[in-house]
Amino acid sequence: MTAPGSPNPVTVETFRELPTFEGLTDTQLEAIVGLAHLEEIDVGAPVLSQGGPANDMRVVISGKCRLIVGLAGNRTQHLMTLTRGEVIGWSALLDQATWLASATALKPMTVLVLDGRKLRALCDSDHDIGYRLMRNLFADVAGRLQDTRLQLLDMYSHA
Amino acid sequence: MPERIAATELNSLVSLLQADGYRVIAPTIRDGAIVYDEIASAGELPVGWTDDQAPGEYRLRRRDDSAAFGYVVGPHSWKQFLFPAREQLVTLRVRDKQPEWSAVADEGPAYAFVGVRGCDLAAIEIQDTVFTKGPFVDGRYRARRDRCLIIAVNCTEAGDLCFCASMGTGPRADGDYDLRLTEVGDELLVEAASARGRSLMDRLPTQAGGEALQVQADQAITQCGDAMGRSLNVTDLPAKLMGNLEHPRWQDVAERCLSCGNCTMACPTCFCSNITDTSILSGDETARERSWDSCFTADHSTIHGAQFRPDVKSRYQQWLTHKLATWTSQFGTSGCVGCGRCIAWCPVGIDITEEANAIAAGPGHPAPLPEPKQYEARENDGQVPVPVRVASVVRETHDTVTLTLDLPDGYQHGHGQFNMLSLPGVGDVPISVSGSNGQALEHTLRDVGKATGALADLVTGDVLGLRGPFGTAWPIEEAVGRSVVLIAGGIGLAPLRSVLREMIARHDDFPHLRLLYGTRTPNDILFSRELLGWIQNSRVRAHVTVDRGDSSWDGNIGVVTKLIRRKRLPKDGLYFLCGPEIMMHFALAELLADDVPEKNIYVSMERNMKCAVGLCGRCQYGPHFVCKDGPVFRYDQISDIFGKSGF
Amino acid sequence: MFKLASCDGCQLTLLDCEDELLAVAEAVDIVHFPEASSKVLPDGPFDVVLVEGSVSTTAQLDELRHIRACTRVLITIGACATTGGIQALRNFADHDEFVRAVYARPDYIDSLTTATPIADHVGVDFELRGCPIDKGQLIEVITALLVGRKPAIPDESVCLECKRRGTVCVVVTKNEACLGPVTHAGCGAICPAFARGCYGCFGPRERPNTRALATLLKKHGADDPEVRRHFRLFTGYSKEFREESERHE
Ligand SMILES: Cc1cc2nc3c(=O)[nH]c(=O)nc-3n(C[C@H](O)[C@H](O)[C@H](O)COP(=O)(O)OP(=O)(O)OC[C@H]3O[C@@H](n4cnc5c(N)ncnc54)[C@H](O)[C@@H]3O)c2cc1C
Ligand code: SF4
Ligand code: SF4
Ligand code: FES
Repeated sequence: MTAPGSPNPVTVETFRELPTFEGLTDTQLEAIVGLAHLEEIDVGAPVLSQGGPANDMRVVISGKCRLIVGLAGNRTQHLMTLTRGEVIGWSALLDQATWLASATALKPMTVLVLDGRKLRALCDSDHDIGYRLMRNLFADVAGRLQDTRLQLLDMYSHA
Repeated sequence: MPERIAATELNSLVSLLQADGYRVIAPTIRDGAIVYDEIASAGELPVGWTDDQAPGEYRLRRRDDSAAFGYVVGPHSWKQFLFPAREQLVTLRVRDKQPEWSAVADEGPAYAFVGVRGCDLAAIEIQDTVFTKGPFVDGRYRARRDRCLIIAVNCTEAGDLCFCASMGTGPRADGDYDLRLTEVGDELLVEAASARGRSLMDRLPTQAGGEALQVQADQAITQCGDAMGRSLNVTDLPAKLMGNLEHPRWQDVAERCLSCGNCTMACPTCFCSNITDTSILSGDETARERSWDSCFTADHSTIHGAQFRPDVKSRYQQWLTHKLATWTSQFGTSGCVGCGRCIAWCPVGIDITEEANAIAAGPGHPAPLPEPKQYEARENDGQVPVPVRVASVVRETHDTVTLTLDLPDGYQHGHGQFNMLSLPGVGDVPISVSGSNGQALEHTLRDVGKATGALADLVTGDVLGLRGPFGTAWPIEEAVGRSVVLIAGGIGLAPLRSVLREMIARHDDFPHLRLLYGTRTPNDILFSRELLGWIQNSRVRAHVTVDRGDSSWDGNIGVVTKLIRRKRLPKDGLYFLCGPEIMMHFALAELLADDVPEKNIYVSMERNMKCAVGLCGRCQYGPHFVCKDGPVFRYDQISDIFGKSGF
Repeated sequence: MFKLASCDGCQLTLLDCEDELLAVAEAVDIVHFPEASSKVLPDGPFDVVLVEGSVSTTAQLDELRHIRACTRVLITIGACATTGGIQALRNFADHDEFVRAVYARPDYIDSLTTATPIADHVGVDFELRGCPIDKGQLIEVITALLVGRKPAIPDESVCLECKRRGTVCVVVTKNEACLGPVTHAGCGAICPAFARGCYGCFGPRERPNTRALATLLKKHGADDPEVRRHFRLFTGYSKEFREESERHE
């Protein structure tokens, strides 16, 4: 699953072209580098598990996973697939204890893992970083909400 | 040279016409109104009568003279003879399970219309344009029109609801008449404008010396023009109306309007029709019938899963903007001739001039409409299906099938065009060509209603009717050498498949090809085998996403717009979109946000369709007809109305 | 074919389709038809049942539920079945008083306090309007069912039929009270062709603007009780007509 012992290769370059970090200067990014490490995930392995402690936020660097919510009676709902640039587990930025969904890798993945508590603290202390990051995440959340709406509309059955 | 004739001699005109074999249709009194009907003699003209008109009111009144044409227009118009309220277009006979369609020949009489006013002459010319200026030509209409003889009358007294002077159609009856009369006292000025007219004039007991009478006639006509009961400010009217679609007056009129459709029926230019197959219980013959329809009915703007004009406001808006604005773009003239019928025969007396003047004076920026298109007229109304045999049926998903049909002789189509497929007694529906080769033609259709349901039940060897191809195609040649991205949603993959196959085959012309396809669930994926081939084919980058996946599906889950966001698409590429309108709406939003120019995007539209050839009015989309100007539109042609309610 | 509270007029329409009926008899097996034969009520199951009449008694309600349970396609025909019909007028009045005024021994009368359309009680697959129903439309519904498609019964106004047949509008020429603009087409606009206003037998059309029509009736001199009477005729219990009539209480 993860590759703990491996040295943290995260550099400012890792953040380039990830929409979540768009607009942050190199100096600002350097402050974030310290909170992050990369993990490799094999096909079929969990990226996060519903109910587990929501400690870190992840951003997909490569590969693909799917987001699943477990429902009562052993039923599951497959919500969406996530690929490069997409965020998994915003919950880590909220005062929330557990994951509300699970994610499983469909293709071998590299994910950027950010320590939620530290990232929150950084945003609190440096509002410029905080504002940028929250703005980018807000755009991401808004896009997802829009997509969810379209999924609910069941648009292909309409004209 | 104009001549003169005593008013008492009008019957000699009627007799001459009858002797020439015409059925003489003229104003005559019936049920408290001056209607148009066949007359046996001039004695049946409303001599000595006039009409008092007000919004929603019409009363006959005795005149204190014996004028033969001393009234304006009534509840009827000449369109009922040239474009009958009900008419059979095609008959179908089934012999040994083999359907045979044939056009109903026009064997109607030759009419002589007596008493055609300036407004009505203009209205006939407007309908001539609608029915005979292409791309398809209504042969029955044209035959009736060619046979008919027109005796026009200049107006010398304006009615309270008349505004032909504003519309430039009267009070002088200019245009395509044979003979023209102007009533001055107890004499009539007679002018001929055609060989048939001159021949009549030669045989009438006319006298020379028309010039003196002409002076009086001209004076009376000029006075009439100054005495119009209504007026409409036509300066830049189309753009002003289109720029004021948010005016509160629309809601105001919607509260008064019964949406009964009387205005559209009374209007001499309205041409919308419905086409239905008449039922048969026994017997082997069915007919396809055309009948007057109105944009005030729900059916007019309803397709499976959507009603584009659900409320009175949007229906009134369609009526008014079609008459006074979009018509100019469709046919090169206004759709209104200023006859005032729609004001009189509206039970609640809604006045088109009052509404249009108020709305056009609103604060909205004028929104100019496209220039009228010119069409090549063909000698054909495209209404007669040819029988084709089902060569094979492939069930694509639980509700979708692909019908492979034997290719009709000489049939050729562009990718993106559609055919009308018909089944006896059920009707016909537009279905895009989803593929073809030298021998066969494929259609992929989803079972959503009565016709598609019946089509989906066909089996190999069955025979159905096909007419087409119709509409515009994807602009393949424009795409040569450029990046091309096809974006499909649901059944929208069908019309794109045919173009994709072509582009894959011509790889050198289309080196950068992408397909983004979204559908509901993995079980709804169309052409799955072929799709897999595309995904594995290095010549095309194909991506599929579903709204709802399950554990057996390890492809993308999410809406197709998400693929657009993810795939970093070329700004200078060409985009072909086909799918539900709502999906195209959000896909367009993503592309435009990414600075893809509007003119690089093509979309395929869907509206209710009956005729498929521009004659029934059903598929109107603002200034366009989806059947003849679409279904494939370049987005900048429709961006001002796309996604707007009421269109 | 079943009947509840009604006059049999709609069934007679079916009988009136003489020639076509022969074909109907060939295409379908008619198992129960009160007007045409006296066979007792069969048990079902049925492919298609046409029901005439409104629900006026508890016994009818039970019968209706039984029919629905053993029927594939249930079609209600006529104003009674689709809107409650003329007997639904009692819905606007005090029912007990009605019964006492009409019957000597009111305690023998077991009728519900309302006469209601069938769709208020059980699921209905198609409603064919009219008082009585139109022969051509009935044939269309039956043939459509035989080919398995949706019947082509336009939900447009009576005005369109009036204009197609060239009738001169009685509202505009004579200020007649006419429900045509808000009424479902189908009859072929018979009344206006005989110089009378439409009584609304076919019930409300799609999106009827009853308010605007009421305003017109008043402009032509009707007072509230008259407006109420116009909307409360054969189909007065239909939602749109009922609501409009209530605005003029
Ligand atoms: C240009 C064009 C291409 C199309 N191509 C395809 C295709 O390739 N595959 C496919 O499955 N469907 C296609 N459609 C949609 C298809 O025509 C409708 O699903 C079909 O008309 C529904 O008819 P129905 O009788 O089964 O449904 P009902 O709901 O019973 O329809 C009743 C009537 O409404 C009209 N109508 C309903 N929906 C539509 C509609 N969407 N468009 C136009 N008229 C409609 C028709 O006149 C129809 O007879 C296309 C539509 C258009 C306009
Ligand atoms: S819109 Fe009204 S005034 Fe204009 S031509 Fe039609 S009926 Fe006459
Ligand atoms: S769409 Fe135009 S032509 Fe058709 S009924 Fe409406 S106003 Fe008349
Ligand atoms: S005009 Fe008839 S379908 Fe377009």
